[in-house]
Amino acid sequence: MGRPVLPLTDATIADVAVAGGKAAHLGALATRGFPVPPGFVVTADACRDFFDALALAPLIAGLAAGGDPAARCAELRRRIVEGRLGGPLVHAILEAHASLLRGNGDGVLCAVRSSATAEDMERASFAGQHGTYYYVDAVRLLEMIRHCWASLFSLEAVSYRSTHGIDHASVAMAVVVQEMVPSDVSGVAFTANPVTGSRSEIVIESSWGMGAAIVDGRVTPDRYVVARDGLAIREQRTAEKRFMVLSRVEAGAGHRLVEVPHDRRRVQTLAAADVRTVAEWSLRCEKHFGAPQDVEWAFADGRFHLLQSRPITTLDRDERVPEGRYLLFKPLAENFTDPLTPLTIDLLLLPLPLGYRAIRGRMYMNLDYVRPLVPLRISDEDLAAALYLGSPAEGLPPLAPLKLPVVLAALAFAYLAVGVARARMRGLPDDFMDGYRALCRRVEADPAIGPAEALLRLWILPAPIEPIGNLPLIVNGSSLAFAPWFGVLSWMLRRWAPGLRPDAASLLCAGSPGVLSAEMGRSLRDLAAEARRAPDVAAALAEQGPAHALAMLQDEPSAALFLARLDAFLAIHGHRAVKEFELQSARWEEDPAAVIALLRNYLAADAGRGPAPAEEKSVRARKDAEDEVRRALAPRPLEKLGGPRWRLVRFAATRARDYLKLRENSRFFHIMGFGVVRKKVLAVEADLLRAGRLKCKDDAFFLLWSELEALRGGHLGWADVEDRIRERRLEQARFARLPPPKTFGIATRRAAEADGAPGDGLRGQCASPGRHRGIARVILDPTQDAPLEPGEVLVAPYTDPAWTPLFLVAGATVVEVGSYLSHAGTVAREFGMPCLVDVADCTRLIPTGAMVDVDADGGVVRIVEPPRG
Amino acid sequence: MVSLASAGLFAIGVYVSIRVLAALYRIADLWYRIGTDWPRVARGIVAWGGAALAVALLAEDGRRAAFLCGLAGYAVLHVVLYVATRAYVLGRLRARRRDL
Repeated sequence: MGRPVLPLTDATIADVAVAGGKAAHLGALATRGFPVPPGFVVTADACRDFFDALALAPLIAGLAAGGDPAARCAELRRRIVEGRLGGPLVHAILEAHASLLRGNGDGVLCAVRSSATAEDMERASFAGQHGTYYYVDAVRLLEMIRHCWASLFSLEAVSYRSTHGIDHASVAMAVVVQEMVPSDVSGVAFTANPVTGSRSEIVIESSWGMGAAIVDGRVTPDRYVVARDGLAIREQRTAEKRFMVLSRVEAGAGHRLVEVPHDRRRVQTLAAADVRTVAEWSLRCEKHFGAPQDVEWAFADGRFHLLQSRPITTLDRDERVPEGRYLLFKPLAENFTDPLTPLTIDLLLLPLPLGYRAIRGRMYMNLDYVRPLVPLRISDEDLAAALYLGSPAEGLPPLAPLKLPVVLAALAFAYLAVGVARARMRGLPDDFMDGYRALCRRVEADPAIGPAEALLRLWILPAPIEPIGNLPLIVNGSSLAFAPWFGVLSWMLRRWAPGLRPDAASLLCAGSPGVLSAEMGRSLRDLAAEARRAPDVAAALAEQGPAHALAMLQDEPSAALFLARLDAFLAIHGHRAVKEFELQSARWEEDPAAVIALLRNYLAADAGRGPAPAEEKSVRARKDAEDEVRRALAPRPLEKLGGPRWRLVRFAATRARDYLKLRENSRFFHIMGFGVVRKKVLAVEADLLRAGRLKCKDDAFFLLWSELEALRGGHLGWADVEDRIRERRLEQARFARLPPPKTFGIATRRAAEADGAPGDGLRGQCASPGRHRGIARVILDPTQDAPLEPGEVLVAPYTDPAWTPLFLVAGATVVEVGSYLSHAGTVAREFGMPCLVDVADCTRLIPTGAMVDVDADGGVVRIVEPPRG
Repeated sequence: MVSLASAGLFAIGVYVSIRVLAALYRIADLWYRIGTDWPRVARGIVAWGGAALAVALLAEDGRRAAFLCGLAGYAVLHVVLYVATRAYVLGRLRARRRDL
């Protein structure tokens, strides 16, 4: 037997077979003076000896023999975790541990990390299949080392080895035990931009406390982009850091993720000198290893520590592309473009019909399911463009007559399936869905209803005789009837009044009272006006962070009326949130500070004063369009006899307008149902946290519904899901850095157009007509980015109701993903503001501060002047 | 020609069935304001129920069956779709449970 334990500084690159890749790299860095925390390695030889002593060979050999791998893995893990380490090994480990603690006191905690011994295994470890344990004290040290070794036989690791032809009997694992750095600030640094691949930039992400929160994607970190030459900061973004992972807690404590104090959330974590220090050490790592590095680092008491350095594997790696032809599911993507958490996807797939699939955290539609229903001779590219953009790229392709019977049958079936629902929706009063709130409360209060059952009950499985108001998702689907009415309206206008402006049909469909998203904007404006009336309130909102301001106002007598109005606002709109189709997103009623943040932006933009010109403009524009249409129709034969054409036009416009309103309003309610599902998930999570089966807040969103049920039922425990959660968090963070492709397996023409130079203008779809010239402001998060000035052009990746206040201030809106029916389009039309949607990559190609000309009618936005300075 | 007229009456039967069902559902849909809106609800039921009755009475003997088939057939389809959707979705839920 070789040495069972090595000091970290004795491990060299030549020791990969004994110490594993991680330890070998850290050891090499430590011996060359890099500030690596001290530690030791329990070698792979010790692991093999331990396995031999437990006589695991027959069980390990059985893994390749088939049968039930889950049962065999569970048995292997049980025997390893419960096995007794040999006396000499225990002695060597405890001695090394004691020398690590010497001079630091007994309170020092360690990180126990697996260090795989072969290149393939190392990649597996990177995928989160092997164990890592923090906050380990002397009492739990041996147990956690055994857990690391047991993780060699997690189902995922075994499956990975089987797939890659690695012999299970040949594997062993070294374990690195290192002093945990009590980090004040920590993060990761990439010596090449991992998203763009640029080698001229260093990207640094940092947050308070331990870096695990960043690596796992639990917090949005501060981000610094540094030029490799000269190390000047090119770009920096301070995020609202709501959570941190503590580096100083008692070993074995249940909760590691805590809220960041309000006054530190928006404070920059790194000074310019710190950024430089991180960049310099990262470049030294790159120089040492000869390839771009992904470096984990920390600052403790002002000292820099290097925690890990490994190659950036994503730089030249092709992402796995699924087989088949898929198109991004736009109704979800236009609400937000970030990847969904696994639980959200898992639950959303329940009510969706076959043909939908989650790829890289986004929902995609399988084109093979759609193609038989399209009676046209059309290429995949054109079909994808038509489905995504809502219209064929170039004229109508020729008919495919053989497909017609199938299509007609499908249309007839669709008509029959939704016929009653559509007939029930006709002519109902505006408040017909208000009763849904009571149904939500009943479902919420029933402890027998779990998250999945709540979703189905509130979305698609009504009781046998249920008011249509309790079926907002069905109302939402049925209101797609907007499209044929809009088509008829456009056709009539083209035929009878060909000289009319091209946006006449859109204008006739705007200015509808009672659109709830628009009313929410008005309520916020009233709230802002109330805040302005009480100088103390306005000052608190302007000068303090949102959460702190709210806390201050609770004790302020002059804020009583404002707070009462805020409560009234939350009672109606509290189920809404930024990224509301994501279950992980906190709703406003849980976190009213988010509303304060919106209000603050609103006040800063000085938009709470005076009446509401935007909505009036929209109604006026519709009236003007109606007059114009009547004048254009007047010379037509028989038009003087009661205006038959005008009546038909008005009828079609009214129908289209009503369906549009129903679509937006029904969304207001089915999102309310989704909020109930979130509450159910939080209740389950709270139970699991209490029982110790989950350790961190929000971990539940990284499990599948069946896994949550298995945890509740005791079929799974924390040890079974810990690695899965970590792996999925890592994956989520990686997906978030990748822009979602609109298609897989299909090259869209649109994508090719998007690569065109911005000088020619960026093309998009008109969702609300008009033209406006103004300064562009790119906003990625409405609660975090700088406020919009009145008249500026809002440039956004997507919008949802949390963005509505910005529409009250903006002069025009340009959105990356959207459609005529999307939130951006509907609200922009109600506010009479030009809006261009589906402008590919606009948040990257249009810089903040540039003067832009938004020609929504022409479907183009042009940069007229670059930003000054 | 006979079959075309029958097909037309069958389609009318389907359409009237949709409207009759919608009119009946309106009791539930407007229950929260039935005190004020009952005349409207009653009007809908009487109008579409009356229309169904009128067509059934006025149709020729040979074609009445087509209309009634459309009328009743759609009502059955409506119930079948409700039950089938429920069974399909709950089946998916049960399948997920089996994955535990």
